[in-house]
Amino acid sequence: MMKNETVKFAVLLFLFAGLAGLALGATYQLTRERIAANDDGVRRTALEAVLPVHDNNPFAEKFAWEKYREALLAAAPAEFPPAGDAFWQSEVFPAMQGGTWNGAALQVERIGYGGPVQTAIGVDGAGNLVNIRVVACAQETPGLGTKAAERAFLDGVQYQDPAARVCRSLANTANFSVNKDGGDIAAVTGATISSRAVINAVAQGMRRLAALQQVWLAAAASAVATDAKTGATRPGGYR
Amino acid sequence: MSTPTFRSELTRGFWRENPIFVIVLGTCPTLAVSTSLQNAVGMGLAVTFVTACSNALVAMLRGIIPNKIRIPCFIVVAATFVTITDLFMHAFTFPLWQALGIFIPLIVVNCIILGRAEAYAYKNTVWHATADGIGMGLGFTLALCAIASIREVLGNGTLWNVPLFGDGFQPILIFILAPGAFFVFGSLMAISNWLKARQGGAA
Repeated sequence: MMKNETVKFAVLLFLFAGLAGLALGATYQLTRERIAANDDGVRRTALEAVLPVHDNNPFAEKFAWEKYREALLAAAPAEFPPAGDAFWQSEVFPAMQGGTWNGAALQVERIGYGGPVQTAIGVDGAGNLVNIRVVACAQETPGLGTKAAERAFLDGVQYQDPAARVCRSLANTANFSVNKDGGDIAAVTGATISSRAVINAVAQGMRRLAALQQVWLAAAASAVATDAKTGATRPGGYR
Repeated sequence: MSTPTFRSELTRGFWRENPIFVIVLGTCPTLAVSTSLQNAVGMGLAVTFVTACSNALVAMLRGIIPNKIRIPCFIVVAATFVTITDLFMHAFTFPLWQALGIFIPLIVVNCIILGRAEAYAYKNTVWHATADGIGMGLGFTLALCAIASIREVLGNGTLWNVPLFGDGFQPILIFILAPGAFFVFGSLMAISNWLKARQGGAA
């Protein structure tokens, strides 16, 4: 008798959970495309906002880091994870001006207090951090860690001298960390971890972009040399 | 006590049986999300929606759900509703989802939903259970807003993100942090109990 009851309950609960799963699956299928489109829209808006001056279409010309992996690992092994890391699949949105490199925009990510904090940064050809925006910090403490997404904090990250609007660049990132770590950026009060996630991700993104720029320019130069030898012409400059 | 009506079940949660100050359910999200008034309203309305839906469904299915496995069934109902709400908001009311998205998964762990399913919806009609769900949700919203207003004004110097004081104001940061949440929560609960005691004494 007892055993029968257990089996009955197990079957009932199984059916119950199965129905719930079906409902969830149906909802997921129904909403999946809209959700992906919405999320893409946010990322795109943020990247558009941070891109340096360009006359190309960075979204059409985007590429994954993977494309230059070998050269990057050879040039700056300390800055990059080993081959096979998910990082290599992330994308760079290059800003071109007159056919040559004028920086790029990309999304960087670090774990904050509660989860990943995603930041979009734009760095120009001279290595200046031209703009920065927090794309997602949904798991930070509301009203505290989420303040790391606000302009008051981000201005301190973007500008070496906020009053004079002097952007940070690789030339002056020596103190590019929060006060507590010996840097000169004021962390959001009570949210050092969230602040640190943004700052460290940005600093690393800038160093990686600098390495990419070197690699890209070297590749472009060698392509031009090859073209000169073979007499080929490339309309619109090197891509 | 008179027979329950839609209205009596609805208003019960506002004050007399307020889920936060009287029943003391759902304190985790209460403490975590009451950092600003905007968050409080968002969380409160999301909870109200889920409590109403889950109460209605539990009351509808109470003839089918065996007594011995009711709790897992309630949890499945609550979790399913929360996830469906989350997905639909993410897809169709995107700006609202961006503002509230962080609170929606938190709703699952809100004991108000499970508590009301167990204590009320499982024993009452769909109609009354829905009223109870909405009432409890709104009572939660009111309590959350009360705590959040105090914390935001004292801890951040703003209300609904509008600065209230001049630049000279130094916010009392601890009110935004966790200890401040406990302090305000406890003080308000004491006041609420004191008022109730006085009411009871008079009557």
